[in-house]
Amino acid sequence: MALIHVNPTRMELTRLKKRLVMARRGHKLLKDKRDELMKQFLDMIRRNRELRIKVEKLLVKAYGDFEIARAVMSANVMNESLMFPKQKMEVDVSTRNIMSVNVPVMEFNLESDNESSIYPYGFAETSAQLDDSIESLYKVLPEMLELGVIEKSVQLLAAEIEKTRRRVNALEYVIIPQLNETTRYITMKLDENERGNLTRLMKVKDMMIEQVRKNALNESS
Amino acid sequence: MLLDNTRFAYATGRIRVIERLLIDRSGYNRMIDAATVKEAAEVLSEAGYAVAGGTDIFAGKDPRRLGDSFGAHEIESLLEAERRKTGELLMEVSPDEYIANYFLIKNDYHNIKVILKAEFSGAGTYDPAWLSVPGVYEAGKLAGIITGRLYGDMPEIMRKAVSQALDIFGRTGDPQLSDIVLDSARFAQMKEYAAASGDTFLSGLAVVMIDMSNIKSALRCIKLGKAADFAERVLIRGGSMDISFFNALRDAEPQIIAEQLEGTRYGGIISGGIRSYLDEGKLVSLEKAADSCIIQYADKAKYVAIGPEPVIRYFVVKEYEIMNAGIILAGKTGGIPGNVIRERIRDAYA
Repeated sequence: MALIHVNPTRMELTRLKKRLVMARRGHKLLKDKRDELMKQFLDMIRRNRELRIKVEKLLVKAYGDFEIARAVMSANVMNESLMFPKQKMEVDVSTRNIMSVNVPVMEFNLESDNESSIYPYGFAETSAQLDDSIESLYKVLPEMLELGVIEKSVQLLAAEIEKTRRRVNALEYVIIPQLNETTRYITMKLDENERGNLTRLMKVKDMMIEQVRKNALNESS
Repeated sequence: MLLDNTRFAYATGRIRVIERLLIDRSGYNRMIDAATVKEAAEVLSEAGYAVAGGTDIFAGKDPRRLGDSFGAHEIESLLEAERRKTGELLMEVSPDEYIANYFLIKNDYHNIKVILKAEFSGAGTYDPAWLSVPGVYEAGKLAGIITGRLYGDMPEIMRKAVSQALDIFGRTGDPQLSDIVLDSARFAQMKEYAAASGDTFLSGLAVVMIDMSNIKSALRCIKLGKAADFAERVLIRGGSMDISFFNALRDAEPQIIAEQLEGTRYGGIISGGIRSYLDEGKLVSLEKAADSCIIQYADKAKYVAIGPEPVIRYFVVKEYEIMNAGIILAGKTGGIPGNVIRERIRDAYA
């Protein structure tokens, strides 16, 4: 593991130790965040799967009815029939925070809740198959909006999980080991310096004792 | 006013020649059993489709267009060209303008709906390809009349209908109600043209068409849970069955509805369609049966030697032939099994 290029001083050691404590705390928090994001992500994936199967089934029915209506009615009559909508819908788009990820929230309000008031055409020129198709599309619309919200949320959560995972890994396998190694290195270096100083002092002491002993011998002779 | 049948000598002769090109049951079977859409379209080519105004609308284009690339757009172009050609033929051969107008007024009311809906949307513009031609009135002129509110040149029924459609949309913002007003006016005008032509066969056809529209609409209203006042508006006046007959069906038990409708003069033909609706909740079979009633009425003119009846019959049958071609080609493009397509196509020319 590569060391961080720092001066092996006591001050630096204190600073690195503080960083290490912070990194360990951050690592734990990010790990918790990743685990919670994963939990939310898996819940959403399950809901996404259910919705997609349901929406695709409903769309197959809607398009099937639509194809038959298109075959029975002329293209011009079909275009004219669906030219101007009868039902109006408002969609409020806001966001919701899941573990610091802003996922979209869509709330929609239909102008009329009456299911029979969704057909914008007269009956004389149109086929009942078109009613079935419009009804299927009307029923699938809320599910489609929910699916859109969930798919986008899943994308955003997946990106956040990936980012958090990289951060956790970087802390776990790079930053914390580097800090550990560097503090160990500085400690060793400081210990080494301490030992050098001690040895030097012992040598000085020996030299001084020798000097004192020599001076005493000279005085006695 | 009684019609002088000899005026139709040329028209009858011309129609007798052209009607040999109409697709019969074996032609439809060939189309349904064809391996590819191209092969199915070849039957139409033999029946004179894709030739409008003496020119092949696909001439000079890649012959592979009839292969895999023969999609929904090409089918729509082909059928729309055939509708146009049929309308032009009608104007050309019919010595009586009322008979031609009877069939063409549908396009005018369609064009009015397009023009009005473009206005309702606030854009004021529409794709000219959405207009159906030919009509009794030239589509551009009709747009000028409506946008300029210069109704002077319009017949009384149409004028009232357009004013009423604008008024009702202004009050309710509901395009469906304005469509219903225009649909009623269209049938009223068809009846008026039929009466003006003096042809009892055409007047009878108008009654059958109104009855069929009412039977289908009444059951659609019941199915969709529409309120009584809405159903009252949708039903067209002037048929052989009174509006009160349909109103009585609204709250009746399904079995009673079936018995009541089977007791009408159309009972024998529409019975299967009604039972299918009551069993499965689908109106597909009933719509087919209703179209059969109209075709069978038109077929009464099969052995008329000379007169307006063979001309009327030809245009009724031709309309359903174009519909059948659409059903088959769309079915083959969408990979729908042959037996399902066969169930949906209308009675063939015989």
